[in-house]
Amino acid sequence: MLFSLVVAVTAPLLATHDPLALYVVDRLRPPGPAHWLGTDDFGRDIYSRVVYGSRISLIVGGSVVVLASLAGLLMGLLAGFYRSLDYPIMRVMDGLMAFPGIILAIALMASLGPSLFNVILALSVVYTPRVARLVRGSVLVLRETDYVEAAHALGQRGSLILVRHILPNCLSPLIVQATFVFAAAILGEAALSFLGVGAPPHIPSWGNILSEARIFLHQAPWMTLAPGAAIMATILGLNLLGDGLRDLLDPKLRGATGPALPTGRS
Amino acid sequence: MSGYIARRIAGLVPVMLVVAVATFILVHLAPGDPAAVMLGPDATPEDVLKLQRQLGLDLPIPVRLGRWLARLARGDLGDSIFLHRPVTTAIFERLEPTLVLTTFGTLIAIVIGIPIGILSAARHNTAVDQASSVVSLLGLSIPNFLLGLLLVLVFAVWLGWLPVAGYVSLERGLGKALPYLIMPAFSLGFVQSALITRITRSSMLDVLREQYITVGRAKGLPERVVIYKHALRNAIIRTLTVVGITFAVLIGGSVVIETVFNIPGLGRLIISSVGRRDYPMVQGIALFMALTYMLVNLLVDILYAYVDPRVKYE
Repeated sequence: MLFSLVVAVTAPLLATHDPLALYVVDRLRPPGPAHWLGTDDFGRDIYSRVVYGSRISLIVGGSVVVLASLAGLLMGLLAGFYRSLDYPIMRVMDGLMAFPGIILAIALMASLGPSLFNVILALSVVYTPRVARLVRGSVLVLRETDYVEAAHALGQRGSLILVRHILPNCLSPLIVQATFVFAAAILGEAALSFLGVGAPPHIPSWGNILSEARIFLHQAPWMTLAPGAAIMATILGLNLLGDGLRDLLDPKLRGATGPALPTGRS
Repeated sequence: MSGYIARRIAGLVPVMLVVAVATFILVHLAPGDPAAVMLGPDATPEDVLKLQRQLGLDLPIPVRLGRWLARLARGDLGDSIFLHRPVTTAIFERLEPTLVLTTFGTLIAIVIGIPIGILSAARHNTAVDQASSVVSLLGLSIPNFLLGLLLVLVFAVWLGWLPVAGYVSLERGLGKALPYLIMPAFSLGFVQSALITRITRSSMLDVLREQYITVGRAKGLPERVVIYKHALRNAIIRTLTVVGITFAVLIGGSVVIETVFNIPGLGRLIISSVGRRDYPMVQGIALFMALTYMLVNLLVDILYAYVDPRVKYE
């Protein structure tokens, strides 16, 4: 089961190795097999555009995961371990989470302006609080364990305990969450670009392709179906990966440190 | 019980403060001077200066923050640059479609999600269970706007059963409004229904393993009673949480769906405002949606207290 998960994820993403013949301006929107997935209204090969789009999604998804995980990890660790920091940090996180994700992202993009970097930044801000809450939960549980108490009794400094004992044990649920953040980030970028407030229009992200395809839904449905299928396949693969990881890591945790740590998606 | 409610409301205040400050920061993140933006490229430097002083833009940031918060407390969200109307007015004009859509979507999500979740748990590991798992996994993997586009393709373009886009207000009657609502609401709700199905199923499975269930069965209670009266009551708690989150997700999701189906709600308004650089409008809508979400969560928490007797004794 696990192997099929991994394959399911990597397969759609591996396609990035293919060539990117983007601007074949010869023909205008015929269907089917001369071009594998047809061409769009400018005569560009849809297959290549979708393939290039997968690279964009990878970049965005990966960057958001890294940024949000690092920031969320930091916030969560601090909030969970130092009681005085807990209240202020978590109130800020709650405040950020009060905005529906897309709305916060749109508001940020409105202020920052359209660019791929800003999309990554905006989405990272959206997902950091969720990671932080998860990490904080782990820290709260781990704080009470015997080995932490022992380290404390031996005179280890707080910050050292935090880094050497608690942090490594937070990572498992974090990794599971990270796969779901990856998927959510890809969806988020697609939505933002579809709305026109995401990646600038010259970048062939899946969302941009979909928004261009929308006008031609009647005449050229393949323009919509191709990137759509790509998105679905990628997200599906990621979801399966996340589920597989969660099943793999969860029972192990349940045995090792006592009560199961929260790993649910939020 | 009322103490619980009071405490929950009090707990909201700091979060609302953060939300307000965050919105303030968002407004001021925008590059360029708001006064210059408002007056356009033909304005003279003197005009810009005059407007700046009028808007209080020359005051130090803490003072501006204070004034912003004071205005918020009075319910004043500022004026829309483009529409030349108070933001609050504009929001309430466009509120109905979004509200209707979100509520309808949530209903669909619940009506599909919970029964299938229960069924899957009851028929654990059978064909029904597997099938619904597959469907819900697919549902979670599709962006809602893509589902919307596909529905339009199938039901409007190919089959011609439903209108492609547009919105008819509920005031004109449910019958007239419904064809325009079905596809958008379904696109919105389906993805969440997948989530609800999963949570309900896993929650029910956990509960069904409990001892009192075995006791009930040993007592000879019919299976239906065991499931509905005992298991469901307890499993529903986790589902409630998800329903609350669902509403928030759908508020956000309505932005995209309104664009796909050309529905004149808040979602479309925020998008067009971004295009017009109407910052007060954008941030005002964001703030409004955040507050709505917090309110819905509060209601869910209160509902919690009624459903879960353990909470009452806090």
